[in-house]
Order: sequence, then structure tokens, then C-alpha cells
Amino acid sequence: MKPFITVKALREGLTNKTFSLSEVHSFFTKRITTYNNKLNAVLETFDRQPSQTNGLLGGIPFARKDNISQTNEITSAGSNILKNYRAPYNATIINNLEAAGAYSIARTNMDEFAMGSTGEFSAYGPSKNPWNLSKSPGGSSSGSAAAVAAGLLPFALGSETGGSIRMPGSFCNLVGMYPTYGRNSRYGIIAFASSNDQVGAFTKTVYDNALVQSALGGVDAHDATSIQQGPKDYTRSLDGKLPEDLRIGVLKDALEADGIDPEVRATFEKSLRDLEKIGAKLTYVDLPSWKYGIAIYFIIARAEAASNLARFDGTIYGLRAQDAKNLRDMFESSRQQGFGIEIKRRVLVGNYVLSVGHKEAFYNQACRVRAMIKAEFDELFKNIDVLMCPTSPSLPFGLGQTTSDPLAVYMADYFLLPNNMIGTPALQVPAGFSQTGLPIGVQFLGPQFSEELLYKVGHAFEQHTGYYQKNPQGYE
Amino acid sequence: MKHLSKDEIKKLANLSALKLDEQEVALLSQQIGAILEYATQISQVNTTGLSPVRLTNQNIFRDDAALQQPSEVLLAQSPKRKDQYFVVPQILEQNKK
Repeated sequence: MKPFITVKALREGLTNKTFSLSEVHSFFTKRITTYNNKLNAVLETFDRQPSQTNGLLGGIPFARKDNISQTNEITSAGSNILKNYRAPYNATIINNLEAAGAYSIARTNMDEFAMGSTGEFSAYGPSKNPWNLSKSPGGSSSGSAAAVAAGLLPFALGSETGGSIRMPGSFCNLVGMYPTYGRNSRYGIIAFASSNDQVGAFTKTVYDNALVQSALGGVDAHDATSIQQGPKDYTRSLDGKLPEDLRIGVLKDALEADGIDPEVRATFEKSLRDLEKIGAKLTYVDLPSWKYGIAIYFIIARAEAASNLARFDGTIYGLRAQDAKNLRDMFESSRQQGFGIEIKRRVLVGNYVLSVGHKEAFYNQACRVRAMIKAEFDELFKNIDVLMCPTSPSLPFGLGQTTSDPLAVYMADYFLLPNNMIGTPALQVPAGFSQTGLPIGVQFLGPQFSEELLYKVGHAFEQHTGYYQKNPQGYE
Repeated sequence: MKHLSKDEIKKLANLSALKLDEQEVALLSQQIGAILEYATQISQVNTTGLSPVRLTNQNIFRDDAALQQPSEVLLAQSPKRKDQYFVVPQILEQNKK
């Protein structure tokens, strides 16, 4: 086995008996032991053994983000308040992956409760970007992205509420999908903003991502918003070609907006030319309400977070402050000690926009603007098949350079939030590198339930451009 | 709305069952003001006729029937318990005489 081996190659090797289950297992556990110290990507490894070679993902070890429940294992969501919390049950997606033969051997670092863009809001220290240790791997699924980028695991699970899979995917030269809301069960995922939260995988290639997604998705009676569609094989149509006469809409903002790094813009323009070469027809489109994505995400996601995090009060599980003088004091002190500053910031904003005097102007109005974005997307996809824009307007952030100005970091989500708010899928694919060797990504967005198309388009782009073949140095 | 006053932050913190130290109050009064100011841009959007309800996913309900829950697993997580109960500090302050 070579470092950075794909899930596909592992499956082939296991099936052909080129190597054994235990060889795969020790290969990856050894890589974690060797390289995690400098990355802080993995918070803990589990003593699990592979059981089967058959199944879509038979014999494939993976890591889960720390907000995804795994029976009897610590699931702390990157927070002090759940530092010692052991999940009483598996998230449905863990069961789904286990049924396909995969097994979870680690949990990965993350911004506390998945709130952050750099990984620096983790209570357990920031993860580092394997491409450049002074840079952030992106957040909030920081550890999962760093771990897969360095080849510590063949794939890892992330979660996304506002860009938290795609942005780290872009910063780490990985593939990441935010699926249609309801595609993957949320049961057992520690809730941030329930109307956006979805899980997805980090992989090195589009094929691998489609393969893992084929095992992840499906109807779940434990998730009230689970969509009623069974699992699909998303790898089936991946032949390296674009669908015939594919119409790609290019977001005009991506070429015109201020604040886009020139190298990101140049990479995006090159991606467009590459797609034209393999047969895509480009049209330039405008979504007038796109620019409100950040504002409505501020409001809606924080409102939902404030409500979801109300349960953490020291009573029935999680951290309890000692020596509280009464019940109310126990609530407040437990939350004071257990939550980091970003959580406090978001909970306060959430309760502000939900409070009697402000709910109409903020929360209700934001929900109406969300309906407007949905209507514009629906209209747009009558004339195009896929929408394209950069994933992040900036190169990976320097560690320690952003925490003092939260608003500036929030702005980097400009291209990520509109589809999260309306629950439509988007696929991040590696698209090149800056002169300093930092990864840059592009994303393909589609209407509800268009994952199969997005994978096909992403696969054709990836096979034509080949950036997935490049790996960070120092992890051989 | 450049800043939220420190009193407003303290009131919000109380609504949120959060204790904040003075340093946090000062920092958040600045930062939250800026965030809310940015968010007010949506007030100019004409949303007449649009529903705030998101209709893309239908809620699926399970049967309204009692499930067998493994209560010991959950009780074992409690910071403090007695038998089948969660123990908390006293709820009301005692009369100091």
C-alpha cells in the first residue's frame, strides 16, 4: 500500500487479496501514530478491528467528526461541556457505514459545536493544514479534512451547516459534498442548526466520495426530515465524461465581486476554460438574492443554535459546574465553564433575533428571504443544469490571524451559504494551487436531489484536470 | 446599531442562561453590534407575499406509542444521581433568618 491510497484502490486490493484486512488496519493506525502529533487532526483512536471484506466499504477504516455519535465512545463536539460525554447509541450514518463494512477507528477535531471556519474554536486546540502547517485546514470539520489530506485515513466524515465540509475540502485539496437536506440522517449528530445540518464525507477523489455517499444515505425513521428515497449507487454513472450538452451557469458574482483573492479568481477562470474544453456550455447567471446568504445565515443558524444548545445546562449529562448555590446558578455556571467564546457569541445573537421585539424584523424576515433564494434557484435551474462558483473567495487562513475579527471570517462563507439555507446539494472539487502551493477549490451546485449529476460533472472535471493526484509533502 | 450596550448584553446573557465576565461583556457588546448591523440589510428586501415557512421537507412522524428506552444508559451519564433520579442543587434560595 502506498500513502494516500484511495478507497477504490483499497477495495480492489482487499478483493484481490493483494493485502489483508489487518494490513490495511495497521497501515492506517501507524500513519495516525506517526503524523497526527504535528496536525492535531485526530482527537482519539479506538481499538476496533475490521470484520468483513465484502460490502461497498468492506474493510475500510474511517474517522468521524467529533459531533457524530458512536456507541460508548466520547462524542464531545469539540466542546468542554461534552468533554467526557459517551454517546449511548450510534448515529444512523455510523450504522449505515458499518453495514457496508466500514469501521470507525478515530474521532476528529472540530470547531466547537461545528461553529467556526478555521478549526480554532475547538476546545482541544487547532488542527493544522498538512499543505502548510501555519495555515488552517478550514472549519468546522477541520480534523477530518486534515486527516484525509495527510493520508491518515482513506476517508472521514464531516458535517456541514454553513460550508463546514466544502470549505475545509477546498483548503485541503479534497472532495466534499453537502447533500440534499434530508438525504443523510441527522439522528445522532449533535445539532447545530437543524434545518441545515447534514453530514458528508471527505475523500481524495470524486469516485471515493460517491462510493461513501452510496453507503451513507437512505430513509431513517429516526429523522423526521429524512427524505423518502432509498440508497443509490452514485458511482454508476462516473465515466469521466460530462453529460451531453451540459449547461453550466457561472455565477457572475464569482468573476466580479470584491474581496476575491486574485489567484482564486484566476483558478476559477481556468476551471471554466477546462470545462468548455470537455464540452460544457457556459452561461453567465445572476442570482440577485445570493448576497443576502450571509445575513440570513447569521440570523437563522444562530436562532436554531441558541435553541439547540439550551439543553446543555449541567442537569442530565455533560459538564456540571461544582458548588453552584442553586439550580439557576448551576445552569449559568455550567454553560459559562463549558462553552467557548464563539458559542456564547452565537447563542446571544440567536436569542436576540428570536426575542419578542426583534423576531419579526430579523428571524421572520430572514425566513422570507430564504424563500426568495429558493424561488430564484428554482427559476435558475429551468435554464441550466449545474451552477458553478469558487468554494472559498480566499486562500487558507493563517492560524492565529482571524480570531480577533469574527465578521471578516464570516464573509469568507459568501459562496457557501445560499444553498445550505435552502437545502440543495453542492460538491467541492480540487481545482488548482496558489503560487505558494495552497489548494484552491471550485464547486458545482444543483437543484434538490441532483447528487448523481454533480458527481458525474465533478468526476469529469477531476479526471480532466487531475489535481487530486497531488499530495502534501512530508507524509510519505 | 453600532453597538449593543453592556446592559443589553447582560440582559441577553440572562435570557440565554449564560454568565459572562466583564471582559466578555465588553468584547461581545462590540462584536454582536457589528453582526446585527450587517444583518439589518435584509430589512430593505421586499418580501411581500413570501412565506417564512420552509416547505421543502415534509415532517415524518412516528407512531405516538411508548418506546422501550434503556434508561440506565442515559442515567449513567448524569453528573449526579440518586437511584432513578437526577439530583440538582436546591431550586429556591433558603430564607436566611
